[in-house]
Amino acid sequence: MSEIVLSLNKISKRFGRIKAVDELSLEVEKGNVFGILGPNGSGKTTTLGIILDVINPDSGYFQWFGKTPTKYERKKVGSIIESPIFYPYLSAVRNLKIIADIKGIPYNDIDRVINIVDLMERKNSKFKTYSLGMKQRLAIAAALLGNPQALIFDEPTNGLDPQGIAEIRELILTVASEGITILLASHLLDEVQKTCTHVAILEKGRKLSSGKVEDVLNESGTVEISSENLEELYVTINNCDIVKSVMRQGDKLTVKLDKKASSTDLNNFLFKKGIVLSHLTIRKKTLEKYFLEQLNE
Amino acid sequence: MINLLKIELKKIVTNKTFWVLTGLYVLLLGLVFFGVQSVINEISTNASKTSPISIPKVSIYNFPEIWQNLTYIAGFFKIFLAVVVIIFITNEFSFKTIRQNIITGMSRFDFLLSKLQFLFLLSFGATLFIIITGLILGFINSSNISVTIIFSKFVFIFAYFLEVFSFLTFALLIGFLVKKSGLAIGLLLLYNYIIEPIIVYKLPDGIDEYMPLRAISNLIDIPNTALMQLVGVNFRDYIAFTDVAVCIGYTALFTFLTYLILKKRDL
Ligand SMILES: Nc1ncnc2c1ncn2[C@@H]1O[C@H](COP(=O)(O)OP(=O)(O)OP(=O)(O)O)[C@@H](O)[C@H]1O
Ligand SMILES: [Mg+2]
Repeated sequence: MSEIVLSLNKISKRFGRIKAVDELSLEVEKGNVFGILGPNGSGKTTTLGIILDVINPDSGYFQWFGKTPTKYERKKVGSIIESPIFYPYLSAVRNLKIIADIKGIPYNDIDRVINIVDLMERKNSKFKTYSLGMKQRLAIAAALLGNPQALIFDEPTNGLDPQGIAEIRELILTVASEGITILLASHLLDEVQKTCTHVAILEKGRKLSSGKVEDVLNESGTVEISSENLEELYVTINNCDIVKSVMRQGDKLTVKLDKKASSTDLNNFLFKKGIVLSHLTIRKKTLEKYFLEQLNE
Repeated sequence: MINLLKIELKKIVTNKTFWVLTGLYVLLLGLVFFGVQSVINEISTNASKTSPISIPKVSIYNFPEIWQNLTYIAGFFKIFLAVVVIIFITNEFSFKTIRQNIITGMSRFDFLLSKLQFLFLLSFGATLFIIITGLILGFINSSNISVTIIFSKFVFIFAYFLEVFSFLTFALLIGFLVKKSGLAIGLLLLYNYIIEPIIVYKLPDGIDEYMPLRAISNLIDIPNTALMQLVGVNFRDYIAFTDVAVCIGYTALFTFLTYLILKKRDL
């Protein structure tokens, strides 16, 4: 039985007529990289605001590290919510010193985190002179300050260039490998698939489903294939037991696979039958499609 | 406690707006302190020319009366410090740094406490400024100098500290209530110069002096110069216990209301 870092129990929050969070229950275990996936306005930021005590829930309760939360639990969590927030007229270092003071951390950790996000050269510049990407990096540095036991990232790759996005995802994986629990909110399916171990899908504040990423977001569901002899391929594949349905589309076949199966299994099956594919692509579900499917089920 | 003060200091020491505004306050009040005597002299010489009776010379820099004189004058300028407070409080809302402070690990009560420490520091600085200028002006202008005389009316200094601190907690409340600097400053000026004076005017005597800002300013009464006595009015040359109690009461009330707002609100 693994340790529960964060649990939410039927948390609800309304803003006027809008139900931002609707009876949301979650459990995040130690070492999870837990994604909260949902379209814009689905209540991700509101949920994070509640567990960090800046938004008062209307009902429900939550616990950090098995305790009713106080400021002492928050000190052990590094967080970025929505956009990077710092005192604009203070330098990066001064801003981080304030954060270190609040958390009760020695200042000698500041250079370490500034190094991680590659801001050493600009560490004495005022925050307001930073570019958007640099601001986001500083926010990540602030979250990492003092080796927190858990990290909360709300859209962490917002505003970063492709290299920055890759670096941050790399960083998340590195941090996660050290056993730090991570909660990551995102509207990017791809981001969650690439970094998370677990996911909860939100829609209008309600949890649609949750679990391990490979179970919830079974991406190998649909593949497109073709070969020299399409007719032969069509007949063969209809006799394959990991295939749920086959549809002919021009010179390609669109194949829906069984939940448990992957595209590699399909390829292996065909290879054994002596068919070589000239084309194979995995149809990634877009988030929109995913939601349509979930809602239709 | 000390840690919160340390955080608060980091927020202000490199802030230009803070130093410009407090610098302006010190400059302005300094000019008034040093210049007010010559203005009074001018007035009394002019008055003597037309008056049938001789008008006594008024010196406002004599120990120990100087303390009441200076603190009374300084009372008109505390609004300046209130504006500084409002700017700093509303900054925390417009930068959203209040939110970040809580997320990072302050409790809401800690945040309020850190702001109260800021008010305390500001009031303390303003009081210290009066003590220093008072000592300088007093030593230059008094003929009668001894430790007992210098400090015999020092209670006005304590009263002044309370007056400023109470007023600043009012500004704090407005800052938390309104969150936007322009609006909050506007509301403060409007209430201080127009709304409350009208209410005070409408209310019967005896009750009107319990209006908050009036009560706070009442702590230090108009100095009783020989000139005033001549006209036959007599003001309080002491600090009344009930005034102190009312003032402390309001300070507690403003602080408590601020806490309620902070507690209830989504940040
Ligand atoms: N302070 C507020 N006042 C009123 N409504 C709010 C407030 N904050 C959030 N909402 C509403 O609550 C709902 C959820 O917002 P939230 O910011 O949690 O969504 P999100 O999932 O983080 O979206 P995004 O992907 O755009 O960041 C939205 O409908 C939003 O309009
Ligand atoms: Mg959001």
